[in-house]
Amino acid sequence: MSIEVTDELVEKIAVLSRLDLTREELDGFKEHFEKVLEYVGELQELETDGVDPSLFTSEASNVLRSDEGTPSLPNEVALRPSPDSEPPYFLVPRIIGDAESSEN
Amino acid sequence: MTKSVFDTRDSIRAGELTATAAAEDALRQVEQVNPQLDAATEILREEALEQAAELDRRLESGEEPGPLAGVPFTVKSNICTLYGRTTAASRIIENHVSPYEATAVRRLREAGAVCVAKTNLDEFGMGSSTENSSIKITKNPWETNHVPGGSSGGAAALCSATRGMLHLGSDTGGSIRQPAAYCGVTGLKPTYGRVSRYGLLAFASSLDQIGPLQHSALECALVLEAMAGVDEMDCTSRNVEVKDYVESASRDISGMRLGIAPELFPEGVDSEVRERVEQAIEVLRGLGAEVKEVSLPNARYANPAYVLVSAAEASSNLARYDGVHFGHRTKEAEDLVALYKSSRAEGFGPEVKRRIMIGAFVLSSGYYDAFYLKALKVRKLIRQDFETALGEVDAVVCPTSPITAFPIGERMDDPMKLYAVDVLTVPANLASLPALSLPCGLSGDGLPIGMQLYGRAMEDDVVLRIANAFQSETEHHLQAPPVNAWGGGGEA
Repeated sequence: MSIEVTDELVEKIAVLSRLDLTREELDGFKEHFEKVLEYVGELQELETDGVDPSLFTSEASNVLRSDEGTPSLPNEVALRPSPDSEPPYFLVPRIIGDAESSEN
Repeated sequence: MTKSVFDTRDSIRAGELTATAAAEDALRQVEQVNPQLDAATEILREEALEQAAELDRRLESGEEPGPLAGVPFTVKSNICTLYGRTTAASRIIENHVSPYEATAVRRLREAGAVCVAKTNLDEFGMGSSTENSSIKITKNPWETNHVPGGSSGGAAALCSATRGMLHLGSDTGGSIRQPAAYCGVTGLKPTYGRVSRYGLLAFASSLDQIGPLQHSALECALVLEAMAGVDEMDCTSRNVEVKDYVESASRDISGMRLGIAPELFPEGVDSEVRERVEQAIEVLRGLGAEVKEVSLPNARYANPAYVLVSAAEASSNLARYDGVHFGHRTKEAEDLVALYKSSRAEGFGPEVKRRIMIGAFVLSSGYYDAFYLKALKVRKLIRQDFETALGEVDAVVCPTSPITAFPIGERMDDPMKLYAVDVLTVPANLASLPALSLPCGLSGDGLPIGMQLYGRAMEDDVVLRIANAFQSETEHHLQAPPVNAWGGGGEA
């Protein structure tokens, strides 16, 4: 599949990635992205119809355990690495009630 | 003091050395070489001595302190420890102290080992030179203008320049083996699922594995034995018997069959590297191994498939660094999405951003089948290639890296040049197999060259055994780099 790497595509990827990049970073990525697409393009040569696309190649199968609760990290300990918290919550900027808040 | 981990362990058990003296010696070694190498991101003097003193109290009172009592160890900074920061060498979590401990670390600690330092890496393990660290660039003890390899460059450099410690690294596409090769040490990426990944900051979950970097295969066997085994905190860890790896690695290799695949000696392999590895294969032949050619027809597609699979998993795994749950948060953000975007843009380095972007693209609607699904299918073909080849031989031998350690800065202008260095190591991660790198000589410039052994799944003991047989016959693994903490070889 041939892909035209446009500014729009690169900007869309940045939005999906939740990265607020500068124009310079976006242009740098565009150049890198073209090289990566060229590099991985050779995979298309390979005939892979009917090959099982499993995520893991290890022999492990589903692992079950008994459905019993076990102790986990205490709330205040789990919150410790957060930049802003007020047990038992993580604190974030206001996200509800402002109509123009976000397009995503 | 030139000694192995076994010497440290045995002296402590025999009461000839205290855990405190062992920790002091390890700390002295790290402190001595770190100004030149920038290998440790944090030296945990106070905490290590506290742990050691506690062990000495237990040893004195006749308690059984564990099989690794008092042996010092270091941990790559993307693996969670209860003391010392777990930063993944990223600004986004530069002050992160983990509220929990990795299972591999816990098992070493419960066996009596003492953590003395955290080591440097390419941010989140993404890189092959340790130049992508947001903290500092680690130097190669053999030539300090050269990279130590990566991403476990801090562990490899420190292992090379010191003695008598254990070093934990992680390997997603070669991050233990390639720096081991560049720094002249022995590094094992265990079979996927052999060691719990719990507490390893995830880069690509289906490829990541924790493993040791040591001076010898026997030392690697000792560490593996202590860390391996099923863990309920990681459902991909396998419930397969943990062997006595030291004992099984000590057996001879006569009659073992070794495979050479032309696909793993591609054109780009430097002629000196090729020569040393071929000489090493002759040594193994002399030890009774049979050598035959095998074929891995799809191995040349491994690196492009790896680039896609690892980026896809990284983009998903690194979504958790959002300015809310961990680490860095931007100062001003008007809403939640802006907070995510700015915190992440400010916190991640350039290579991590590139990989997240590639990953988000290959997983996005319209491109998923052509890129991600295709890469998964290629991955499966590569696994099948190895299953076939390893049906005919017990291990496959090849170089670890096509080249030796390169000058700092040489490959930073073009990430694609750095990706190319991984071409002989990524197949092991894609195929979930154990693979080990061991030193097999020096280049004309005095830089170490690594040979690599691929084994069957869960036969980590076989690659350890072949490596140990080689090391029993040769002294490449005992050579001292110019920068070292015990006065061996060149300048001390």
